[in-house]
Amino acid sequence: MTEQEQRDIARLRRQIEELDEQAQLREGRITELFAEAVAREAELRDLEAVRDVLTPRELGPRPGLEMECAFIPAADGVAGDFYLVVSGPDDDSTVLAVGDVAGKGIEAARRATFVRTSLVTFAGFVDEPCRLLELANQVLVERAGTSPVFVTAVVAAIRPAEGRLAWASAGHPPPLRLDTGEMLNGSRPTPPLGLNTSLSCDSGREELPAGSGVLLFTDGLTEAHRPRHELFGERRVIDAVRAVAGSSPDAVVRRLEADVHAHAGEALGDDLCMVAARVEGA
Amino acid sequence: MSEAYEAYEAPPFAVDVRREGGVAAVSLVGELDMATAPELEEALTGLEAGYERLVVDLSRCSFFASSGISILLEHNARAARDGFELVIVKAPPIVQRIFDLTHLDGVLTFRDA
Repeated sequence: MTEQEQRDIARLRRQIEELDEQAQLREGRITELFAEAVAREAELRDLEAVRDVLTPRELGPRPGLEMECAFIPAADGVAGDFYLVVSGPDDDSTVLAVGDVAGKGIEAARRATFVRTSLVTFAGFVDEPCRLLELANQVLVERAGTSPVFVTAVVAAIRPAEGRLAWASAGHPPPLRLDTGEMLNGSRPTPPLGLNTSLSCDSGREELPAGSGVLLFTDGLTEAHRPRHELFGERRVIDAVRAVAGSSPDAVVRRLEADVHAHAGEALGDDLCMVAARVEGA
Repeated sequence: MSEAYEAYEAPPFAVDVRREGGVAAVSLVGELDMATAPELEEALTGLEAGYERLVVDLSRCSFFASSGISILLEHNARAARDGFELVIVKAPPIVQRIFDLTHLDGVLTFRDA
């Protein structure tokens, strides 16, 4: 073997060793990525299971009320909006709520689930909206502690036979009247749930005669937008509701969905959740 | 942006960090949403300790999601613990509205832009 050949062989060996090393590094990276993917998939499965709890597909019927809901998940992951419609302490009482958690991921989903579960549980005994928010806050703080991962919620209690509505919000947009598109006021502004050990709150009260109703929604509705473009905003929500005033909750929700998608596109940056309820008759 | 393109497009977003003596200033430009929120968290957590005042400037923020509020609250709590002051320069009115809705104006300290 010539000296030249020996040098060539030595060089080739070094190259092979280098390639080998690179291959090992790559393999290590692939193993890491695979482990990450498995963990992410498991988290996604957990989050999807949580989502089924947060936003069940169907609302059960409630006496004296027509209802419709919509949930459009954020395009890039589980954000944690939730809603509920349950029976209050007696037959004429229905409790509705819509909520949202700051942030995403499993902690956010867990805190949203806590709040939703406590509202569902307590609504069977209490239908005073402020009291329900106070109880939900208490349970959340006792079980999971105070945290900047806060939960906002709006609770409405409707008594169709009496034509009455009571409502309260914790850091959440107020309900809107289906007949006029007007945003309700009259409840004392209250910060979100989970930030403080106590919550002081006052419920707002409205008459809700046959044929009138309310819409509860999350900020995914008012804040829907294409990147670099204007937010959908309260004005467009009010206009859409007024345009179909007197129609069924189903028609209002479909109209809002259509208008939001026309404004912001098919894929939304945040969850969007709506519940509309109208007192039957008239 | 083409109207036909319907996939979700990440919004433009940038974080600018400045340090002058005892003041750390973090300015946000563009849209802070769930996708860009981690960049704010990284900027705030990555600051070298020792500042007496932390200014978070939202005056050029065109969108501010609740995930961002959550991050500000976390650092507000840290400010109380570590003994520095957290001041937030207000966002444009339409963006600032989220702070009004969540009634956190009593918890966080704001300054006009």
